[in-house]
Amino acid sequence: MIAIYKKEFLQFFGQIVGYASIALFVLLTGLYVWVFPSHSILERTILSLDPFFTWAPIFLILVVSAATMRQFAEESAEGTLELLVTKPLSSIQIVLGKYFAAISIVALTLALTAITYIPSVQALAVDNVSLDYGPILGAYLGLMLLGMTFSAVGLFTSILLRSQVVAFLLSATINAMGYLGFELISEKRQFAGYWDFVINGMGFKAHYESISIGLLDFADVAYFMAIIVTFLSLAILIIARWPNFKKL
Amino acid sequence: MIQLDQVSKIYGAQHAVDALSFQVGKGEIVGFLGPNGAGKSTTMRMIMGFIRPSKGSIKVNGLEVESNRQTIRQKIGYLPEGNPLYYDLYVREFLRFAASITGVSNTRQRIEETIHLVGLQQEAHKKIGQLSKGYKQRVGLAHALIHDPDLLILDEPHSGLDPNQLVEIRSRLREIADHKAIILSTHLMQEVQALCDRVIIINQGKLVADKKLSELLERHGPNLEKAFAHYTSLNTNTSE
Repeated sequence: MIAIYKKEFLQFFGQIVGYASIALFVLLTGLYVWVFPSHSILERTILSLDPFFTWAPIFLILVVSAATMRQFAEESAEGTLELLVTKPLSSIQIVLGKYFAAISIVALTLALTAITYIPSVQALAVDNVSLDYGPILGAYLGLMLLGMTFSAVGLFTSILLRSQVVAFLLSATINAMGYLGFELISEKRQFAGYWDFVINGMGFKAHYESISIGLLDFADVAYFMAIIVTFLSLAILIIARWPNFKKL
Repeated sequence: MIQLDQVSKIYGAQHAVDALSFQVGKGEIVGFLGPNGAGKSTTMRMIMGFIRPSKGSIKVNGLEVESNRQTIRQKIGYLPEGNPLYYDLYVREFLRFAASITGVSNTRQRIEETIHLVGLQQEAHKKIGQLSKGYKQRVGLAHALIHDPDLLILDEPHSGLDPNQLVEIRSRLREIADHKAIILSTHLMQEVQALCDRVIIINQGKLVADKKLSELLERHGPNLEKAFAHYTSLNTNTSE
């Protein structure tokens, strides 16, 4: 599994798309944190990283989809999946090796923003006011859980398809629906009252926001873990049946 | 070393491989021949446990492939059809990856030995995607050999090579052949004549010939093409 993990990591950073997707994430979140007047923390009187945590999940979908799109789709199109599945490896080792590489890329991307944004925002403080680190830690944990969920979905879609571009689009669509779709549906006036709460609670965003305010509830973590385990289990089952599984 | 007993692979109504039986022992280089679509790659993939046979049994070193895939794959070096490789990895990165998943202990030394064995020294610092077709073929061969397997399954290792590269690959295969069993699928009859002791020919999934090379040449003339044409144009219900 470690060998697969290392290979995936090397391959992601062996292509320009790896660096480009991380740079794009930092650039886009940077625009919202520093530049766009309606969001920029330079225009605010409260010391916080809220603009980053509001927009980061959306842009994280792009990084994760770029990281996972090639993981199986490329191997299938290039024929290298035959190399992999004829090695003394279990389907669990293959899928988890690739998954851990994807979430390491997420962790690295988030760490890059943490080491740049937190000291920069703290430096803006006047009268020795300190950032409230509790919610920041909670929000980073929430982002990591979101990244882990996006990665499991992305890896699964990559198994279904031969085309990396279509795998990227499908992963980004499912993840965007999971993150924003339920909230948007819950806002319809037909669901006002009880169902809006239920529908909103089915989406990733409600659980991310709950963790982001610094409340680490077991139910939120379990929600993300259940989605991750479901998609990874499906991926493992498909790889175990390879090549009998017909690709789209 | 390898034993196929009445192995069939059926897709719908089509028998891709039909009741195929043969054995290959240590020290043998066997040319596995047949026209396109005869079932060669399917058979090789079944030996690797990549495809499950519909019927029959495949054993490697006395172990059933179906229930011992992981153990058996440690013993086999496999070069799939089309030589798929990770073009964005450097040669040594790729071989390190292959060595580590096949449980090679002295990785660094083994990688250098294998690079030397297949004659990749001059190109080993490059990314695989930058190599010529001949060198890519050597990388594929190095990958199949990295864990010093007892058995080598090579599916068209000569495809797309120029005459000089053919001679090079031929001599590399000869060097490693002594203590291994090698099954070699190719359309290049001169390579089979130069390398193999025994020839298995299949047609429409069925075994039509399993003979010593010398016997085939004696019977059908000095060129294997004639023997190949003879057996692959036969009614496949009668194998010889």
